[in-house]
Parts: sequence; structure tokens; C-alpha cells
Amino acid sequence: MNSQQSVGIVMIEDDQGHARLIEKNIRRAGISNDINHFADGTSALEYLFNDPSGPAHNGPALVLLDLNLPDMSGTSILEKIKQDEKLHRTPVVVLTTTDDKIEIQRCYDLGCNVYITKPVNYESFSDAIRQLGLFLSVIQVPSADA
Amino acid sequence: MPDTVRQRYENIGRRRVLSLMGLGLALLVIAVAAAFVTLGSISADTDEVERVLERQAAIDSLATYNEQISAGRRGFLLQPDPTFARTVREASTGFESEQANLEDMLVTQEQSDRLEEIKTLNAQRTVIIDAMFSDPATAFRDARNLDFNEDEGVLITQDIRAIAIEMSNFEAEQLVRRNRAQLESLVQFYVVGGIAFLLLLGVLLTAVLVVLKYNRDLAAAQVSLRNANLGLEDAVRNRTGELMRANEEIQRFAYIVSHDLRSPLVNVLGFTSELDEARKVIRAHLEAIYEAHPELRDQDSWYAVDEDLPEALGFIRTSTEKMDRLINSILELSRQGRRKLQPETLDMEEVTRNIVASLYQRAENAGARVEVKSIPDLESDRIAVEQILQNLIENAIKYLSPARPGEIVIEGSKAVGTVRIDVIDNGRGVAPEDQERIFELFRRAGTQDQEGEGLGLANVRALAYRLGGTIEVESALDQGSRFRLSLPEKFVAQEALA
Repeated sequence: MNSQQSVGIVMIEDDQGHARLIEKNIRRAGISNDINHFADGTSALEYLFNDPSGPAHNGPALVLLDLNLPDMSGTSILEKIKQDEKLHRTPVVVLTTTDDKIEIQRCYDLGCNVYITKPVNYESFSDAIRQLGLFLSVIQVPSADA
Repeated sequence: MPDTVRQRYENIGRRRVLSLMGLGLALLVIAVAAAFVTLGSISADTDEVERVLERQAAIDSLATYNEQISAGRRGFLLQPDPTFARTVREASTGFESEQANLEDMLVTQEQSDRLEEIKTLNAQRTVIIDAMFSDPATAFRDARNLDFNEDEGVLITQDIRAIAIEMSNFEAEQLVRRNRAQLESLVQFYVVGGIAFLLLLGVLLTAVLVVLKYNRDLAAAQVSLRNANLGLEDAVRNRTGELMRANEEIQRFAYIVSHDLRSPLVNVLGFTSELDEARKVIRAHLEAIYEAHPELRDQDSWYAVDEDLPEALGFIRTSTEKMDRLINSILELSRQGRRKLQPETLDMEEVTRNIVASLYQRAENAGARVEVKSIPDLESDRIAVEQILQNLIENAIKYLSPARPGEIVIEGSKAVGTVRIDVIDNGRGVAPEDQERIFELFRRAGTQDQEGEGLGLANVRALAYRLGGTIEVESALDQGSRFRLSLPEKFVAQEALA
């Protein structure tokens, strides 16, 4: 195993428009990793923990997480990921419209790696997404026997 | 409220008891006066009776002496014994002294006349008796052939006896009359006394009843008052709870709405940018084509890509950005509404001076002079009070009149339990019809030559209300404004925000 193994991007985002914008910007930043998009928390958790091709069974991943989901709170997904033995090292980038300090603090307390506020100002939003490219390149890929 | 109700009850009770007491006192006075009058008349009657009895005794004694004189004379005529002579003389002396005595005691003319008669008769008899004593032999001899029924002395005695009986009867009559008067006085006394006693008893009973009723009423009033108070407290508690719930609901609503509104805005702006990107691609492409093949140039297409589309996209962008600012403002307001207030003692002059110092440069640029006068200290939430004053002073600096140099005064005063802080300026003022509007969210007044979202005063009012206070404005257009912040001297937290 080496760092060339592609890191799958798991995007949990209920807003189709946001998902599309995020994807466009990721691609525009030159990141070609697979993007798996889930519009609700239940199917995302199912993929993360139980899917044979999911991160729990098959290699490293980066999670892009929106906090406002229709069926559950994003923070509870974050909590589950960070408490799981296999997934707790998976980097989680919280992407949300909330800029409430208490909420941000809570996400970091739960183990979120990066917190990005979806700004209405599109340029800064694109910039933030492009930063993810840099972030992806430094992700520590767990060894196969870990 | 309860005090006035109780006082009314007390007044009613007191008036009743007082009037009853007055009535009782009057009755007592009447009874005592009646007793005095009656007793006085009884004692006068008694004296009179006593005098009548004395007179009767004197008359009786006079009658007795009369009989003794008569008997003594007769005895002497039968047997000229010196013992009889002595008896006659003694009786005569007694008769005369009794006669003088009686003369003093008599009060009625009739009796005095009778006594005069007796006196005359007695004087005649004395002449006869003196003659008898001076010549006992002649008298003795004459007596041998004397018919006693025709004897002058005997006749005088009989006359005196008759008059004495008459007098005695007269006095007896007087006695009966006096006794009857005395009895009448007594009866009158008993009647008046009895009536007064009964009335007094009645007054006493009524007074006791009134006091009892008054006490009962008072107790009932207190009970109902307590119940009313309890009900009121409950009602206030319920209403406060409802208001607090409603307030929390609004805060939460504002938070959720503003929060959820941002998501679509991200899309609108995001895809507007995408559109612009796409337009740039098309424009570049068109430019390349037109350069290569000028004959294909279509002016309309070029304008659409080069001017119309960017203009439309620009409007979408600025409008959306403005919407985002407004939503952020609501978010900010609701966030402040959710902040827990922490009361502390504030040195208001220091707080105000710090704010003025932080605005020094802006005041300088606007050519305004800011003066902080004395402001009483108060106990409240520092951040909220600072925000309110900051907003008010900022506004004062912002909306000055170009016609004159700015003069801004901040001063405080104290009312009952309340501290008032006035921010007074000589700026452009607020028209009367705008004075309520300026406190509404996103509403502004006057010439729109200053930046702002119409948020400051809405925030000021929300904060003032949260601190249990009020904000008012007095203003005249082009004259200046006075914003008066009234806050409770001691803030008591009422909210139970989760």
C-alpha cells in the first residue's frame, strides 16, 4: 500500500445545489478522487460503516459533512465516525452555513478536522474548497494492517 | 390595592362603631340627667312631706294642750285645787309656745287664717281663765249653776278643737298629695331609667353585632384578597411564562429561518458565479470567432454576452448579497436574544466615557463635541448596556445637521427604581411620523445619505426591553433629538432560556 491509493471523498450534503457547487470546485481545483454523494444521514452511515467498498472495509476516505441533514444532525454522524475504531482517523471536513461559535466549538470538540463555513461570497467558497486539494495531499493513509 | 380596600372596610366599621358609641353616650347622659331630675324632685317631695308631718305634729300638740287647758279648768271649777291651776297654767304656756311654733311653720294662707282664729279664741279664753284665777270664789260659785254646754270657755275650747281638726285634715290632705307626687316622681324615674337602660342595652348589642360583623367582613375580605392576590400572581406567572415561551419561540424561529435561508442563497450566488464563468467562456469564444470571421459579427449576440448578461448577473449578485446581510443581521439579533444576561454593577460614567473614547476619531471627523455628564450607576448586563449606548452615540454622531457643529450630551438621572440615560444631540432630528418607525427592523428615516441596514435602533429597543427598560425619542426635525433610555436600577433576570 502506498499514498497513491486514491482517497475516496464521501460527501454528505442534502442540498443538491451545494453538492454540485462543491463537486465543481473540487474538480476545478484539479482533484480527481472519487466522490460519493449522499443526501441523507442514514444512507451515508450505511455506506461508511457497512458497504464493502466503504471506508470501514476498504481504504482511506475524506468526509465532507453538512450539519443540517433532513434525517439526523450532522454532529451525530461526526460523533459516530470519531468514536469508531476503524474510522476515527478519517478526516472530517464540516461544511455548513452555520457560523455560530458554539456550534463550531462543538464540532472541534467532537473531533472535526476542518470547519468551513459556506460563505455566500462565492469566491471565498471556491477558495476554501480548493484548499481541500492541499488537505487531501497530506492525508495520512492508514496502513493496510491497521 | 389591598390596602385601600382594607382601609375602606376599616373606615366603614369605625364610622359605625363611633356613631353607636356616640348614641350610647347621649343615652347615658339623658338617663343620668333624668335620674338627677327625678331624684331632685323626690328629695324635694320628701322634705315637703317631712314639713307637713312636723306641722301635723304641732297641730296635734296644740289640740292636746287645748284639751288639757279645758280639762284643768273644769277640774279647778269643780274643786279649786292648786294642782289643777298649775296644770292649766302649764298647758296654757305649752299652747302658746306651740302656737308660735306653728305660726313659723305654716305656709298656706288658709292655715294661717285658721291659726289667727285659734289665737283670738285662746286670747278670749285666757281672759276668762285669768278672771277665774284672780277670783276663784266667784268662779266657783258661778260654776255651781253653770250649764257647761253654754259656758263660754267650753265653747271656745270646742271651737279651737274644731279648727285644729280642720287644720289637721288640711295637712293630711297635703300629705296625701305630696305622697302621690313622690310616687309619680318615682314612677317617672323608673320609666325614664328603664327606657334609657333598654336603649343602652340595644346600643350595646348593636355595637357588639356591628363589631362582630365588621370583623367577619374583614376576615372575609382578607381571604378574598389573598385569593385574588394568589390568582393574580398565578395569572402573572402564567402570562410571563407564555410571553417567555413566545419570545423563545420567536428567537428560535428567527434563528432557524435566517439559518435555512442562507442555504438557498449559497446556491443562488454560487450558480450566478457559475453562469458568469459560462458567460466568460462564451464571450471568449465569440470574440475569437468575430476576430477570425468579422462577417459573422452579430451585434445583438455580442451585447447580450458582453453587457446584458453581466448587468443581470450583477443585479442578482448585489441583491442576493444584500439579502445575505439582512439575514445575517437577523441572525445576529436572535443570537443576542439568546445570550444569557449577566447583571453586574456598572460605573455608567466610566462605561460611557469608554464608548465615547472609542468613537473619538469618528466624532472628530464629523466635527462633533461629545460631553458626558453625571450618570447614576446601575446594575445590569454590561454588554447589552454598552451596545445600546454605543448605538445611540454612534447615531448621534452619524446623523448630525450640516448646518451647525455637532453638540452631543449624555446625561443621567434617577427616578424611583429607574435610571434614565439621555443621549441628546443637536442633529437633524426625526420627523414625528418617523419616530416609531425608526425602532423597527430594517426601517430608516430621513435622507438616506448614510450607510446602514436599519438595524441599530431595532437592536437598541430589543435590548432595552430585555433589560426590563424602555427607549423613547423626543425630537423635532432639524432641531435635534433626545433618546431616553430608562433601565431598572437593579436588573432581575426573568428569562429561562434553554
